[in-house]
Order: sequence, then structure tokens, then C-alpha cells
Amino acid sequence: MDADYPAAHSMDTVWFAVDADGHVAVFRTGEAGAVPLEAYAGDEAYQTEARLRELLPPGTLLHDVDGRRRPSPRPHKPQAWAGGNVLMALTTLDPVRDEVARGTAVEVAMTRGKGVLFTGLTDARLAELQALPECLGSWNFYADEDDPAGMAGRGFFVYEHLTDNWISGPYGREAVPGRPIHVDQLPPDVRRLVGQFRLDAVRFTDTPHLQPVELTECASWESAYIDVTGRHIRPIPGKEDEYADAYGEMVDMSDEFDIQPPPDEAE
Amino acid sequence: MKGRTVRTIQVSSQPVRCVAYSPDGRLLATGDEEHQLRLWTVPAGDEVARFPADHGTVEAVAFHPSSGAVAAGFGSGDLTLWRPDSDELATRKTPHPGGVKALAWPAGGLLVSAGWDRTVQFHSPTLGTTDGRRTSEYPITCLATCGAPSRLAFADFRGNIGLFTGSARPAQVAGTVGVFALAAASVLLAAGDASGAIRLFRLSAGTTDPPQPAGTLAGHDWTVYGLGFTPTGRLLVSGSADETVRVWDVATGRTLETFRWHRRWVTCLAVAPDGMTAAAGSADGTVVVFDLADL
Repeated sequence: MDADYPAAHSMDTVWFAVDADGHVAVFRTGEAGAVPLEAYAGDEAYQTEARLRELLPPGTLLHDVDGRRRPSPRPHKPQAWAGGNVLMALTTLDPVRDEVARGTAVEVAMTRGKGVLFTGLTDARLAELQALPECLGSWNFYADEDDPAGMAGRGFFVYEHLTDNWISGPYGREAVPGRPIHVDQLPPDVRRLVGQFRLDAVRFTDTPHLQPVELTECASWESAYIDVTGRHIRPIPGKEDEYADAYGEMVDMSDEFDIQPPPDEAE
Repeated sequence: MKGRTVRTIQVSSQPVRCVAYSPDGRLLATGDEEHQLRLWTVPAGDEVARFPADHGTVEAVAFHPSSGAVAAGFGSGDLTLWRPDSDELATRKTPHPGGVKALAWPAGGLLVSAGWDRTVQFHSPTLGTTDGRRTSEYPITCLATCGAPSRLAFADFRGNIGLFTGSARPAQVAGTVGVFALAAASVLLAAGDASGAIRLFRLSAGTTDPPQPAGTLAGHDWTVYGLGFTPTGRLLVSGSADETVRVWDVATGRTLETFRWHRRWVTCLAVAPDGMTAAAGSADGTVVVFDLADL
């Protein structure tokens, strides 16, 4: 089966889903995230997102600590590098009170712990903070200064593809809305489009990570996916031949992943 | 039996989006996502008319207060009007790009429509002309009329509530919480919001004062999509995305009954003009007509 994204054939796209509660989520694929074939995706979905930002009043959001962490059996290590904005979650603001007082760190809402957004950090200071037991995680943060609320501030759960461009990894819940929107609150055409893909066994409120390949038929530019635990690499259904070709390159990562052999090799 | 279901009507295989009683209480109009506007007898639940049209989902429906004409607003932004005396169907094309959100028909007045284009428009009773138009900052989500021309209330996506006549400032319900259901009875206004709360407001006799907060009814877990007062204002009926219908004693603020008939969220609700029954529509495609007499 050839890689064939719904609609736009763009490597970087968004798609929407509705969960069992009627909550709505937007998923950002980056360049390798899998896209459910039924989901509303592509350039039109981008345009719909822009329209919703215009139409819906902005509200509050919380940055998600657990959703931003890539699932892995290994202990989590803070990921950010210095330069640009850094979002950091801590158990307490005590280590960063000086930066907050000086205005080089702004407190932001997190799903757990305390959060700060740094506007400038040296390598040394970042490394120092990341090494603290109080640090729950750190991530480079690309703010939309024109629209800080974004989609999460408008009631949508926001998921990002967490891995680099070599595999379809799980999506992580990057931000949760202060007050989730219900699908019926949306304009009729948007409601129809975003509601065409329903995850009736999922509640976004309870789901920090999601791998759509494990739930439904998906399109992807990649031949392999990482499961939602972050532990297993498997072929994307229909791409077993491409997977077999790529398998040799992945074997080197067998200390981090349990890599399913291609069907022929398994036999 | 309190709140017994009189009839469960399987309206559609798709969500029911709106419901309204005729002024004489004998007919129920429903609109759904199969793009059908249907008329049913109550309480028998027999379908007596259907108006399929290429207008998209039926988002709002309202009866003329006396003539029996029924207006419908669609997801396409179109409006239609069926007049029983002439059996004609009039259409106004896309007064609301993006879809119609709400309809109201104050006694003796113009048909009022609100849409996702952030306008409220006032149409002649035949849909022949549009006689007025207002623009709001946020989409108007619901309209409510007590039947008097001066009592046309609105609410919007931001949570503002106000009256169209007079210079009264709208009352802000709460920050960023949108209001998605509105009902009026004499001097009382009830507003259901996206948190599940139902806030009561008292309307003054004059038209320059904003609605004044008069209490909150807490119980629903999720967005309230349907509200209706009984004619005396003693009871308020609500329907929510939490899949329940509640009946409230307005004076005490207590929930008298909570019903869970539907398999998915309640999308719309109407109380019969005589207050003896109410009808709740749902995303599961059904409308449940239930008895209020013993409550």
C-alpha cells in the first residue's frame, strides 16, 4: 500500500477526532505521524483550524506534563536545549523564584506541578535546573505570540507527534483546555467534519498518549510505528515489504526497542 | 408515575438537533442531521409531514405564535418557512453563511434568526424581506422570547446575556464560558452554559437595566443544550450533554427529578404550551416526550 495521506498529501498536517465524551482534539503530525484514513485532515483542516481561532473566544489552557514526555520504559530525561523559549515543569517554583522575580521566567499552568516559561536561559543554567529532582521535564516551546491561547485555549485537546522523522511514533497530549469544548458547540460544517472520525473507546481527558495505528487504519509516510508504550516497533499494516527493507537499519536500536522482525524473518 | 415517558419517537438515525411545539401543543417539529424537518402529532408520535431539502442539517426550528407556520434554519445558512394555509415552502438563501444557530418568533413580530456569521436578523413573517440586522462580537448561540415583543433575550459564545430592546448592557455570565441554552418566563431568564450550570436572571420592567443574577442551579456535568419553563414559571426543564434531563423547582432551586433516557447527549428541549409535557431530543436520534403533570 502506498503512503497516501488523506486530502493534502502533505507531510505535515493536522487531523481532528471526537472522543467518547464529545470532546474534540486536534493532532499535529509533524512529518511522520500516522493519520487515520477516516479523519478530517490536510490543508482544509488547517484552514478550519484558522477559522476556529477566529470564531471562538480564547480561554485558558494547561500545558501537559505527562503528555509531552515520549513514552518509554526508560526514565524520563528533560529534553530542552538552551536558546529560544523553554517550558519547564517543576514540583515547586523555589528553584526559579529569582528568574520569576526578574521577569525572565513567567509562571504558566501545568497539568501537574508548577510551570514556568523561560525567555532566555544559558546552557549552564538549563543544565543545572534539569539536574534538579524538582524538575519534572523541560521542552523547547514555540509560542504563537499573536495567539497565545491557541486551540487548547479554545477548548480543544492538542496532541503532537513526539518522535523524529524516521518512524510513526505515539502522539502526546501537549495541552489540555481549561474548559473542554463539546462537539455540538461547533458550527455545523465544522461539527460534521471533525466528527467524522470518532474514538468512542477513548477519553482525551484520560489519554496522555495515543497511537492511532493501534486503533484504526492509518496512512503514514513511514513503514513502522512505535506503540503507545514506547517500547515496541512494528510494521504499519500494509507496509510489511517496506518494513522489511527498513528493518536492518532499525536493528541497531534494539537496546531501546523491542523490534518486531519482518514476517519472513520471523518464520 | 412522575416524569413518565409518554412516547419515545425514533426521529432519525442521526442526531436530532432541534425541537419545538406548535402553539396549540398538538404538533411537534423536529430537525435532524439527516436534513429532515418533520412534524409529529403529540402525544401519539405519528409523523404527519416531512420536508426534505438540500439545506443541510436542520439546526433550529420555530413556530409562528398563532398562524401555525413553521420556520427552520439550516447548517447551510438557509431559512425556510412552511405555511399550512398555503402548503407552500418559502426559502431565503444563506442569510447566515456558516449556519443558522437559533430562531425565535416573538408574538406579533418578525422572525428573528441568529447565525455563525455573528449577525442577528429580523425577517418579515413571509420571509419576503429582512427588516433589520445586528452584528455581535461573538456568535449568538441562543434566543428566547416570552411572547412579548420587548422580551427577546440573547446569549452568545462568550457568555454574554442581554435583551435586544433598550440600551441595557448585556449581563456577563462568566468569563469565557459560553451559553448554549436560554429560556424565559415572565420576569425570569434561565441560561445554561458550557459548564453545566444554569444561571437565573431577573428581568426588570424597564428596558434599560441589564438582567440581574437571581441564583444558579447546579447539577448537570456538561453543556446544557436545552431549557424550558412551564407556563407558570414554577418548573424549569433542562437537557444536557451529560445525557440527562432534569426538572427543577425554580423557587427552591432543587432538582425534582433526573432522567436518563437517552444513549447520547441531549441536544434540544421544548416544553408544551400547556406545561403538561415536554420533549427532549438527543444525538441518539430520538425525541422523548414525557409527562410533567405530576411534578
